[in-house]
Amino acid sequence: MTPPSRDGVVLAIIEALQQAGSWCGETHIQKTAYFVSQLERESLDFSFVLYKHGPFSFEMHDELTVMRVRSLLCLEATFPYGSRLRLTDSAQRWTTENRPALSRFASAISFAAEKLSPHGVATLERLATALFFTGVSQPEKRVASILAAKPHISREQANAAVDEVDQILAEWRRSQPKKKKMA
Amino acid sequence: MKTNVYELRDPIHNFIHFDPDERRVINSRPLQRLRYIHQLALTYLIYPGATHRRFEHSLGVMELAGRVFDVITHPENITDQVRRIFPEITGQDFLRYWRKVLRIAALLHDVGHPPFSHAAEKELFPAGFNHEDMTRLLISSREMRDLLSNLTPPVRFEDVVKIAIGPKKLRTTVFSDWEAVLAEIVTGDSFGVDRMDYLLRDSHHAGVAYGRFDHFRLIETLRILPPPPVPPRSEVQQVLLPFGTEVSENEGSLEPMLGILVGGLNAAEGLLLARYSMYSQVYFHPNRVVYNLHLREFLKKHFRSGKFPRQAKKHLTITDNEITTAMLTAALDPKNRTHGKARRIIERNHFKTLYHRDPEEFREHPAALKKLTAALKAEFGEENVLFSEYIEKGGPAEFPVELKDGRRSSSVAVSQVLKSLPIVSVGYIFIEPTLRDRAQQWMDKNKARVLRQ
Repeated sequence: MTPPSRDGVVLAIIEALQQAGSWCGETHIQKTAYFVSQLERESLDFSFVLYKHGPFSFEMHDELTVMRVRSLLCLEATFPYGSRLRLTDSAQRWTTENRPALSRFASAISFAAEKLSPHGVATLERLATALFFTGVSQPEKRVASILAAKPHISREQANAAVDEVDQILAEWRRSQPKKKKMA
Repeated sequence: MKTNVYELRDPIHNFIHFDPDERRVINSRPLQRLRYIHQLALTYLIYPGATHRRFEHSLGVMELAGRVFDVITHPENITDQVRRIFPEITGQDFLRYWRKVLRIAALLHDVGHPPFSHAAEKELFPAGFNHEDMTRLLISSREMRDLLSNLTPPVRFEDVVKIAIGPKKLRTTVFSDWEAVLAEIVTGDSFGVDRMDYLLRDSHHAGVAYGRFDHFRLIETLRILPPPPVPPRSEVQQVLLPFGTEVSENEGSLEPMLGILVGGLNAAEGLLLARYSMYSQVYFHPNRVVYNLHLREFLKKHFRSGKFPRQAKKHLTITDNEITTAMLTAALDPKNRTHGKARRIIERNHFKTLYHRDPEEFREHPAALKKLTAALKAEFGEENVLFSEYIEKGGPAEFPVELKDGRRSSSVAVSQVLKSLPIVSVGYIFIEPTLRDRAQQWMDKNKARVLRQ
C-alpha cells in the first residue's frame, strides 16, 4: 500500500478538527498531529521538538505554508484572535480522493481530534507537553520536567495535564485491538 | 587609560560599540574568517555593489541584538505577568550575563558558513549536516570554550550555541521559555535581528531600496508578550483580555514571545514587505540563482571528495578567496578539470532562463517544474538543463500585538497587509545559452502536452 503523503496526513487532521468544531489554528493542528504520531507510534515524517506551546514540528510549519501556496489551505483571521487554517475546495477534493491511503491513521486522527478539539491553546500546550514527557517514569518528575521547560504553567495545571494525558492514553489503548499497545 | 568601549564605523548602523570581552570574540579565528565570506555569494556578478562580507553583518547583528535586549528588559517595558514567569529578570547579574550571551551568540551565529555562504551549502556539506552544525562545532571547540570561559562573567558555550542557532536547527536540545525568547531575537522569523540586518545591509550594498524599513521604530516597540488569544469553543465568543490579567483555562497560553506595541505595526509591515521584495528581486533573481547552480557544479569538481570538509579545523582554512583564486586559475587553464565550470562563471556565460513558474500554474500543476525539466533534459541533454525551486519557509507573519487600550490581538487580525502578505514561491528552468531559441520553440510546442502527462 502506498504510504500517505505528508500533506495527506495534515489535510486529514485539519478536516477532522474542523468537523469536530475546533478553532483549527496552527497550534491545534500541530498538537493533534503530535498526539496522532504518539498514539500510532509512527513519526508521520515530521519531527517534533519542545518549542512553541510544547511539541512543535518545524517541518509541519513549513508544510502548512507550502499548502497555502498550493491553495489547499487558506488563512483566516478574526479580530482579536490568532489565525486559523481552513481547507479549500481543492483540499476537500484531495482528501476524499486520498482517503484510502490514510486508513492506517484514520482511527488515531479521529480519536485525537475528538479529544483535543474542545480545547484552546493553553490546554493543548499543557496536554501536549505532558505527553512529550510521558517517557519520564514518575509522575512527579514529569511535572517537574513540564515546569522546567514551561515556567508559565502552574504546578496544579501540570499535575492535571499529566493525569488527563494518562487517561487519554488508557482510553486509546482500550479502544485498540490487543496487539497495539502504547509504549 | 584603558578603554572599556570600542567602536567601529558601519554603513548601516553608523557606529557599532563593543566591550573588551566582545573584542576578544571579534578577534577569534572563526569570526575573522568571515571577513572573507561574501554575504551574498556571487550576487556581485548581477549587483556589482554586493561585495559585502559576513563579518560586518555579524557585527550588525550583535549591535541590533543588544538594542532589542535593552528595550525588552527595560523595567518600564516588563509587565507583572512577565516578571512572574521570569522572576530573575530584574536581577542585574542575570541581565548582564544574558545580554553578554545574546550579543556573543549574535556575533557567532554565522561562523559555520562555508565558502559563498548559502550558495552550495545543501549540496556540498555531507547529508544531514549544515552550516548551523558547523557553527555548533566551532563554538564548542576548545579554542572558543576557553575564550568564553575566561570572559567576565564566564560564559557557558552551551548557552551561546542555543541562542546563536535556535530551536529550529537544534532539534535535540530543550529550550526554556527564556532561552526561546532570546533565540527568537537572533533567529526569529518575524523580528530576528539577523533578518533585520541582512535586509538593510543587502539592500544598501546591492543598491536597491526594497530592503529598507523603520527598524528604529520597530525595535522601540518590541515587547515580551503572551501569544494572541484564541477563542475556546465557539468562534463567536468574545474574549478581550486586558494584558496582564490572569486568564483562565481556555482563554489563551501565557507562553512569552516577542511581540510589538500597535504603534510599531507599520514598521513590522515594512520589515516583512521588505523581505518579500528582497526575496523576489534580489535573493531569487534568476541570474543569481543560476550562478549558484554553476558555482555548485564548480565546487563539486574542485573538492576531490565533492564535498566541503566537515572538520572545524579544516573549515577555518577555506574561504571565498581560495575558491575565487582557484576559479580564476582554472578558467585560464584548459587542462584543469574544472576549466569548463570555472569559465562559465568567470566569463559570465551563465545558462539562460527558459521557464519561470507562475503562481497560477503551480496551483494547477504542482509538478510542472519537474515534468518540464525531465522532458527538456531528455530532449536537449542532461548537462544542458538546470532547474531550481524555492518555497518560503516558516508560517504566516503572526505575532502578538498589544493595542492602545491594553488588549492584545494577532498581527494578522489587525493588519490586512500581514494577513495578505504573498508567500515567496519561485521555480526556474535554465538552458545552455546556445540552445535557448530552440528550447523556447520546443517549450511553446510541447509544454501543454507535458503538463497533461
